[in-house]
Amino acid sequence: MVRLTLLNPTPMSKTTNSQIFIKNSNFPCSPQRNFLTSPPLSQFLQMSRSILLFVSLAGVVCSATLSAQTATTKPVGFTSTAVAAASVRALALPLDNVPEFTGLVGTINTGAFTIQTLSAGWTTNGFGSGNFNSTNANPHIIRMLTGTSAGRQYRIASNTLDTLTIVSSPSTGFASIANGDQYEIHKVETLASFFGATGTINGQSLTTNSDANSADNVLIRGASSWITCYNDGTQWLRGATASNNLVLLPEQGFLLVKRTGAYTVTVAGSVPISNLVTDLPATSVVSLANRFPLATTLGGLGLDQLPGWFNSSDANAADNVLLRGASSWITFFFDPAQGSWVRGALPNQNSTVIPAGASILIVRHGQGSDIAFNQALPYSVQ
Amino acid sequence: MKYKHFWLAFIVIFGFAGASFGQTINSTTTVNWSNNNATLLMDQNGSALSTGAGGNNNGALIQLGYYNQGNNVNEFLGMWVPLTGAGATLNTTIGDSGSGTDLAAGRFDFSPTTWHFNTSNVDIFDSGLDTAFYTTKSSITITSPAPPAGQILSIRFYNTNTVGALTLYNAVSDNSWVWATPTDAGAILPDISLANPGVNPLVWQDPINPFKTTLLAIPEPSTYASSLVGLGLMGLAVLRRRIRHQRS
Repeated sequence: MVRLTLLNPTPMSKTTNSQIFIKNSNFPCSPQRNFLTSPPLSQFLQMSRSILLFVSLAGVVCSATLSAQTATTKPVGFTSTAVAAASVRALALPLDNVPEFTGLVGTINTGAFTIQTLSAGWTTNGFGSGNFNSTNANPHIIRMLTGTSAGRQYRIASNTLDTLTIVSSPSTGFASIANGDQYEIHKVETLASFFGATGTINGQSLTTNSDANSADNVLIRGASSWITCYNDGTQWLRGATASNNLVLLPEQGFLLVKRTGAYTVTVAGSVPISNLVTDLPATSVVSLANRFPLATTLGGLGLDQLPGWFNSSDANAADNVLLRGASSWITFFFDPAQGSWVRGALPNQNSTVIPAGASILIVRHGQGSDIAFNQALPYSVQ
Repeated sequence: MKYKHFWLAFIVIFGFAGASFGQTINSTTTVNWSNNNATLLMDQNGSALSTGAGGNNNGALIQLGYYNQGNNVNEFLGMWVPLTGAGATLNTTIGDSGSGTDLAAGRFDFSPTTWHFNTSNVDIFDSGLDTAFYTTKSSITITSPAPPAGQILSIRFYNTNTVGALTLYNAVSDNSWVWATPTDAGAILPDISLANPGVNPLVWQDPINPFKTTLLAIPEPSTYASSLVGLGLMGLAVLRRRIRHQRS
């Protein structure tokens, strides 16, 4: 029996629903309802009509794990977030696509950025190839589950029958991976896979238009700015550039600018089962996903406790957390004089909720140092 | 109409976040600006402007900027202030792309273009997404009052890679192309698309010849000086020839 235990319960946002299903370690491949709803979560979450979705996902788990070296048990489920017409929401994908492979590092070559797992039996470039964010229509990542680099993930550039080559940058922590470390491989979403190549998926449609200023927009955080994307009814574009393959990475949030009509963003997949690491450079603006499918709080994130995070009574010097409010960004920073997160002159903002399925903006003004933000699982998988 | 109003509200929203605490090293303003095959930019003869040799920065010059007295009655009033492709730096030119593979002649697509607060460096494309990312220059340092919030922007395009004495240009604008002061959350301007100008029609500096370079450009000071020297030498040569002719 697998049990998911919530470690620090936080009330859910009223606009976000989620449901976590647990399957046992002997989960069969037949599509039976062989799962339990987590008792600790059920008091906060509402049931929804997603059993068929769950069953189909379970089927994927079964077929995928047949080829894996290590059979794993993954809780699966969904989150959904309502986005009203004429609004902007900061969103994230807190659930992963079900792992397509779980295995152990056989041989790592840090210079060549490769990981070999003997007898893996992969299809050549079955995990995608080409340039991430442009020509790779089937992008995957490898996430380390154990070892020094546990919680880090890397983009897969290509693969052979038993060797993965990862994208060389960013690759922080890759050199720390050791033989025997456990990993899993996930497909990551693209604009086309998540919202539909023509802006319609699972019966829901974004507003499409050849004019970006009339179409709904999805804004992805680039190196130093927002990348505005829209769908013209036939494909995703940024400016006039085809962009179906732009990725929505698990660690990164995105903005959905909904001009007309409501939309419910539903994320289905497997629950993260390891700690998760996200880089927060000293001088940067990072769109950070709430990476687990549970609400958390400003205080719960614990950013102010991290070495390298700069706390100050001066908002322009302090590192900031920006939450997307109903119609604007709201800036928070940790004021050591107040001993709490503050919003303007309002102290004691530690309990400000960051809903499941939401993202925040981390604005670091360069006074601190680079941070590898290592988030422990907020629940235990037993 | 309501779409445009919502989008303008969106700009204000982004701008307001930064306005709460002022601008910092992280503050940016971003815009996508592009055209399509139905709105090609052309020279005075109607030929699509050149992309130059393969790769970026070598086609016909195109700049996003503003006229410093421009307003919604006359968008082209005052001095031209280029916010991209200024000075002896990597120019923003026709055909540039994020991949480095030239677009068709007459095409441009700078998505995204990002200005950073307190610097004249401008990011063309995204350094994380685009292999052919480059940094160009604005003619001014971006500050809170410069460019002024709400300033109407224009695109100026030329028939040569650098502005010389014989270079021709034209400029296009739209009352919805307005500047927003950089913010930490990232100010985002409405997409500037010649293909989809929105509710306001495109306005051309030479309205008789839209899409075509027909106006004589004033070279930048360095080029202007060399042009003057050139003209001076030409004049001297003519004078000497006349003197020689009179003596004979």
